[in-house]
Parts: sequence; structure tokens; C-alpha cells
Amino acid sequence: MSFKDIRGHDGVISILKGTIKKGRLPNAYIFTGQDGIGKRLTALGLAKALNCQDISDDMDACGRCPSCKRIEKGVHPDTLIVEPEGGQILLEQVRAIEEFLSFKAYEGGMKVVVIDDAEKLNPSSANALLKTLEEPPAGSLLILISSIPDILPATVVSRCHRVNFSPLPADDVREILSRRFDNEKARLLSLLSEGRPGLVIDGVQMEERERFFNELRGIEGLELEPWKERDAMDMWFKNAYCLMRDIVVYKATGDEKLLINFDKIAYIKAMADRCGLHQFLDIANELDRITGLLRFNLNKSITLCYAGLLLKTGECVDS
Amino acid sequence: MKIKVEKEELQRVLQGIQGIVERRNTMPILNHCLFMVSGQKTWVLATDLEIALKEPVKAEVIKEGGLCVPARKLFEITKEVEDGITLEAQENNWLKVKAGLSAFKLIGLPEEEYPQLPKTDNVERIEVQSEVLKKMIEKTIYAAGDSDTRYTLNGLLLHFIPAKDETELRIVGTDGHRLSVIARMINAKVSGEKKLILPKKAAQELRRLLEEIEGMLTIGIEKNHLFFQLDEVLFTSRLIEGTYPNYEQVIPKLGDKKLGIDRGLLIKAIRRTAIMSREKSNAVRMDVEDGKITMVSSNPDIGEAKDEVAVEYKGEAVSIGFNARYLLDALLAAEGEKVTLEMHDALSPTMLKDEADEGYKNVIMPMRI
Repeated sequence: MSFKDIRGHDGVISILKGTIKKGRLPNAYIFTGQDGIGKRLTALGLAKALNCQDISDDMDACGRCPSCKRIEKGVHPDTLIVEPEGGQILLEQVRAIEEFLSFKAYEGGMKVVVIDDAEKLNPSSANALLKTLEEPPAGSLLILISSIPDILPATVVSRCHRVNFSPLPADDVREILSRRFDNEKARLLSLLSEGRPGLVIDGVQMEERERFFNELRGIEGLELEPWKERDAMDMWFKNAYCLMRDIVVYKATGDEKLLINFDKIAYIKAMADRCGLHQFLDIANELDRITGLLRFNLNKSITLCYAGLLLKTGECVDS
Repeated sequence: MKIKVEKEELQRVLQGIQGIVERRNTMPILNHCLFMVSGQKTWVLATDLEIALKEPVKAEVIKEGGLCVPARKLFEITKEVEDGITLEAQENNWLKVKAGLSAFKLIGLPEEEYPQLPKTDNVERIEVQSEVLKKMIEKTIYAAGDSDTRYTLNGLLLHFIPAKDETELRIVGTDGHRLSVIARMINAKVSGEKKLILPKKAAQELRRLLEEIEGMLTIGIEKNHLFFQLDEVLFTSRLIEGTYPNYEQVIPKLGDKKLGIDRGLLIKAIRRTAIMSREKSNAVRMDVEDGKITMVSSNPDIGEAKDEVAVEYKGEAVSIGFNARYLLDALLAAEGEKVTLEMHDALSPTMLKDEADEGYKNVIMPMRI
């Protein structure tokens, strides 16, 4: 995907284009912003622009030349994409980056290394990377991507030029999603995505939401299965919070158009009748509080019992 | 694509590229080699993105075309089947291999996906005797570093210096503890001084290749690559980025104690002495006096060794420690009957020169003992 196909990051892209044009690329970038908003796409777009054999006047890659095609396929000899292995970016991977950069460019363009989820660099990898970040061999660019840059060592972040990405406007998300989904589904997904199309585009979110609602319908009497992974737990709480939000909005306004889960209107109406507005607000606040604690290794089955109880009774347990 | 090829020929070519294709498998396509058939010619191309080898294959062309083929599997097949092999590309990048009554089908990849060879347009060419280059690599490669974090040391420096109608080519290898440099005059001209770093792996592969073929070799120099062409065989390597350490600065000028020694005797004495220190530091101490060197090594857990070699030397006594491996590597690479050691004191680098080869110098850092 070239710059011209990327939606919602016009500001960032025009800055990147400017640095290419003036030939003033830094040693390393760090692309920060929430998950699923297009940081990696932009990084690859930059790699393409730096290697394109037929670059346009406004510094955008053509997307058609062999170089662009190879980057798209992930087989370009001068582009390396590094991802965490088993939850970490290991020291060997950093050594591999150093070796990769030690050669001159195969095709004569720029060597680009994209480190995705850079916050997964373990302490020794991060330290090993410092030398390369500070003084990479000629003709190289490192792009770190992170949704939580604050947990990276300051020594790493301070060596990179920081570029912040914001979530996309709803219209842009809808346009991206409508390339793949029909109108109705694109609308639903774009509402669910919170401006992060990358999160919903693989359909996992949709499946999780269906499961959440199915589970919820059976919550009375049915034994809930605790989550196996943290991701599933995060998503469950996101869905629960989103449902509370809808109920509260519906109770306060009575306007169906403002709902996110508009396909579940019947269920939301039924839920809304069970308690008062304040109680729902309390539940929502409590769910939000738990969401904030999820990173701290909560016991999964206790958490589930508690959250399930909250939704079932519609009453907030005093904490 | 369809060709008919003799078993021996195909096996020879595939054997030659195994070292290149097997190394890394980060990209599936790199486990493949590319068959290119056009006109009456068949070529095999293999690369690991660091080095690439393009070799002609003697084969009967039935149909033109190209296909990427898994190199390892095809090699295994070739080893086992009867003579008279037919390779035929089929739909969806399948390769049909037939020999006698055996038939195989291999999954290939489309030709376009194979990494392209670097372009040879802007290349400066120099001709060198393959024999000369081979010798130069052999005499320096052992000193080059192995997976050193100073990446420039993991290669050989090719230093071209223009001199009147000729060019001086120096090849340098060093790992920070020892350095070997060899210089030769080449009957060719270069546009200016050039310092290129050839990766060690590429140098090894090139040396292997040069053992098989003889004649005039064309070296092509490009910004990011080096090309070596001999007849129809083309070998290319990517260069290492960066500045090679200034090796001339390292060559000692203080060698006031010159020792002439019989090379064979010295090798034997070092080998014997090093038996005692092999497991640990590999250190031997040389006590130099008038007319003889006493070599000593010891290991508190095992014991001691002592040996003596006659030497042409008159002057102050000096005692110096060395890593026996470094001395042996340099002595074994030399060819003359006699070598000269130029020393200064126990902590200064020592230079080892070969009587039979004036352009060949070895610098070895001493050990503190």
C-alpha cells in the first residue's frame, strides 16, 4: 500500500514526504499510537517510497514496480520486518538486524528495518539496539512501531524521531471497511472499531462480540468458561463496556440511532428496563475500573464471576 | 521450460550451489535455485542475497522458459536416479523430473519471484589471474573475524591503489588480534583508489570456486557489489558497509630485533609446545637469546613443555608470549623455507614476513604472560 492508499494520516504522511524530499531522514523513527490505526502500513509505505524505482513527484511509491511489489509481498531484500517471537523481541533478532544492516543495499535503495511491537524488546535486546539506533550504517533507516512507547527504555525512545498517529475519523474507517464488507456490516464495524480499523478488519472482534452476547444471554444458570488469553479478556471487557454505554445512551435519550450495537437493539431494550440509569452508570464505572486492572494478572475465573455477576444483577457491588 | 541433461553435469552444478542455497531460510524462495533456459543455453542461478552464483549447464534445450526449483530436493533426486534426466516445467509451477523409469513432481515457484541479480551496467572491470587472487585470499582469510560485532572485520579488505600503468591490489584480513596483508601488482588500471570489504563467506565461496577453474578472471566493481566473472560463470557478492580500520597504522615500524628462522622447524616446535596449553589460553612463551629461541608453555593442571629452535639472531634477549594458533596460521600460510620475525618488546606487535613473498606481512599481537 502506498501513501496515497492510506487514510486518515495525511498530516503524518506529508511530514514523511517532506523529509524524503529534502533528504533529511533521521536515523530512526518511532511510530506511536493505538493498535490498528495504520502505523505499520505507513512504515511499509515509507519503505516503498524510499525504494521505489518510479517515484512520483510528490514522493509517493508507484505500487507497481518490482521493488514495490516485493515489499508488498514481504520478499524485498532490503526491507526487514521484525516481530516478537514468543512475546519478546530477542537478542538474536537484534543481532540479525545488525547483520542485515552491515551489508550494502542489495538493490541500491535504502535498507529499512521495521520493528513491530517494539515495546516487546526485552531489556538486553533494547540495550543491544542502542548502538545501531545511534549510528546505523550508511543508507539505513529503522522504524520502531509501538502502541505503548512509554514502557520502552527512555534510552531507546530518545534516539528515535517520534511520530504520533491518532485514531481515524469514522468516515475514513467506514471507507476502508467498505472495501471488504457490505454496507451494513461496514457501518457496524466502523462504530465498533473506535477509529482503529486494523482491530476489526480480521473479523475476530466480530466473532468475539457474537460470543459475548450469546454468553450473556445464557449467563443465568450457565457456567461461564474463563478466558484462556489476556487478549480475549480485554475484548470481553471492551464488549461489556460498550454494551453498558449503549444501555445508558438509550436510557438517557431513547434514540436508537446513537447506539453502537445497533443490531442488538432488542436485547439492549430488554436490559435497559431492568434497572435505573444510575445503576448502569455504576456498572460501567466498575467495568472500567477492572479494565484498568487487567494488566496486573487478575485471577481470570474470579474476575469473570465478578463481572458476570455485575451484568446479571445490574447492581454494583460496593467496592 | 524443458531440458535434457546428464546426471553427472546436473549433480556437479547442484553440488556447487548447495553451500549458497542452504544457508538461510528466512525467505522460502531462497531455498530454491532458478533455471533459466533461453536460446540454446541453460543457466542455474542461486543466491542467499549476500552472494549469488550463475553457472551454465550443458543441456539439450527442448523448450525455453524459467522456473524456481527447490535446490536441495532436486539435488537429492539427482544423486539417486539413473542417467539421462529430463526437467520439464508444467502448469502452476510444477516441475516434472524424469530419469529412466523414475518420475518426480516438485512444487516450484514462478521465475519472477526470484531475486534479481544486481545490474552490471555501471561496473568498472579489472582482469586478474584467478591463481593470483586465489593465493591472496588463502593467505589472508584465516585472519578475518568471525561474527564479530565490528561488522567491517567480518570480511576481507580489497584495497586497489593505482600506480602508473598498473594497480596495486592489497588484501587485508584482521580480527583485532592479528592482521595479515598481502600485496600484488596487477596489470590493469583502476579509476582511483578503492577500498571494498568482501564478506568472509563470500571469500570462502569464491576460493572454493577458484579451485575448480583457472584462467583470467574479470573483477567488476560496483557501488554495492563485486562481480567475478570467469568464462561463463558469474559470481557476485554484496559488500559490507562501513570503513575498514586503517591497517597501515597497525603495521609496526619498530621491529629492531630481526630473527631469521627455518619455517618448518618453527612450526614443529610451536606445535609441540602448544600441546600443554591447548585447552586454555593456547599461549606459548618465546625466550629469544643469541642463536636460539627457547619455547615454553605450562598448564598448572597438566604440566610443562620446553623446546628449542636455532635462530639467526645476535643482540639483546627478549621474552614474548603469543597465541600459538595465530603464529601457526601465519606460518602455515607462508611458503618460503625461511621466515623473519621482527620484534620490539614484550608488549609491541610482532611482524612475521615470508622470505619467499615480499608482499606478504603478518602482524601478531603478543600475549601478556
